[in-house]
Amino acid sequence: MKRISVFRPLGLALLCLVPLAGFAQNARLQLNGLEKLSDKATEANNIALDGATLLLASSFIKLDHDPKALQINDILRNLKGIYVKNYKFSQPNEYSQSDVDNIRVQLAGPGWSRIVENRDKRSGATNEIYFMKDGDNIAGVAILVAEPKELTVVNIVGSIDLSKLGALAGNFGIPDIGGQSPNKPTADTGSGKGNTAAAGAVR
Amino acid sequence: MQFSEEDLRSALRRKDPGTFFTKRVMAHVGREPLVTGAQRRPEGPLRSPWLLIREPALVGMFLAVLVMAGWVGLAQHQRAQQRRAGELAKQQTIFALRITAAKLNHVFERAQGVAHYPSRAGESYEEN
Amino acid sequence: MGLEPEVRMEAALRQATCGDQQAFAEIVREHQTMVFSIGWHFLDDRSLAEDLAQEVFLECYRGLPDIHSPAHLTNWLRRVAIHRSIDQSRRKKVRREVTFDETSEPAGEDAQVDSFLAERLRQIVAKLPEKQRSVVLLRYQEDLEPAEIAELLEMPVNTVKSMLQRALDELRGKLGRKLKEARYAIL
Repeated sequence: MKRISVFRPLGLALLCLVPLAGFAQNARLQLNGLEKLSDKATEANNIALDGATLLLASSFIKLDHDPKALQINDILRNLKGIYVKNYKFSQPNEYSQSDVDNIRVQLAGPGWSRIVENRDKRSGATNEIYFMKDGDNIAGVAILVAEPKELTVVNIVGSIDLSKLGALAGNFGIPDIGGQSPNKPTADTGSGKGNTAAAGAVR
Repeated sequence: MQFSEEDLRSALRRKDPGTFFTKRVMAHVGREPLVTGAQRRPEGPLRSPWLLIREPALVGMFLAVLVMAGWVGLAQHQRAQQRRAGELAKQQTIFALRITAAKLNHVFERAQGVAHYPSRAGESYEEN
Repeated sequence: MGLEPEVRMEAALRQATCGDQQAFAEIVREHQTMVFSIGWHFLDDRSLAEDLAQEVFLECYRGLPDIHSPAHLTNWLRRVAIHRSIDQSRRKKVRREVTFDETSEPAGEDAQVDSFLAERLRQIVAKLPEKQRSVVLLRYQEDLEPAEIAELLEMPVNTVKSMLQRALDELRGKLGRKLKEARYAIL
């Protein structure tokens, strides 16, 4: 698999140091409208971790006394919430464009900027990353991946250092992000199946 | 398409979790306090309910022990529940970070027009 | 080894109640398939099913003095496994946790029709409303009669029968849709 070194400059650009409580609320997207897709999906992952839950998770991660696990706490330190909706379907077009547009309408609101966009005209797939900015700092992240048979929305509220997330690649099933992992697997296991190899190894 | 009741029985046939499961259960059982049937019905003078009625101090002590045991049991139960909640929160957090990293990777690769990458476990396809 | 299972279980129950952990291990081995399968078919999640089955057996160990016979033990385990599965299913609805590497593999293109059908049936059963799911599992996994199911779940026999009928109708309806989708995906 061809590794693209895109992450480091982006990671540096994304270094977020100051959480902004005032903007944290606006960075939270309303994703409840997607829950109806659970009925049609063959696999649905709904994760809602508010500040209190992240704090609880953090305290249990500390109990592991695992240096790698403590790096997770580093990432969580300034987060107010992580919200994930991921739906996989057995056939294309099980979700409607309006489901995705309802999310985009929120991301067109004040504070949000789209920093990455990719569209595949053949399949109709779209892949986007948005940031909510306050000056030079980041107060929220949204990732929107709309493929024919899979829809994913990730909403992170608070400031997250994505380079630290990349540094965890190869541990806990966290995949390599853009080839920046210090724990990059060997060419055999890494090529073409980075995500699955990492996930399998953690178990 | 129709299915028969036999198809349903076959689909819902029992599956053995394996010998490792037994060992895992017994490892937890080993940590449980031993309360046998014999212990629940102790022999000897304490078995007689009349003794408690004749000795009010014993009644008071007995009640105090009950309350303490109840309180300890409740505290233990709450701690166990908190432990479970904490472990669940930890696992879900790691899972959320896993999805985040996977999707970031996906978007970056698409944006750069990577030739060959998997879209999900076991599946791969090429893109121009 | 040559003893009837009922006789073996009676002895194991008696010994386990007196604190013999080896005897309890035998009880676990005898019933783990049943308890685990109830959890797995109910929740469609192997990891959750293992955790659930473990909790059921721990609860059983704690309650041994109150279990009178092998038949009582079997019914007790079924009842508790079903109730815990319902509890877990309700918790799972609010925060469904599925790890990438625990989901069942989709059937390959050249899979036998019967395993494909079985997999689809299991998936659809795991999505039925909880009471219907309980009734279907007790009927088709455990081979219980409606009267036995009614006693276990503490509901009228007629309610059990009508739930079974509704569940089968729903399974047929959903299976028809799913097979059309799968055919489309494969072809």
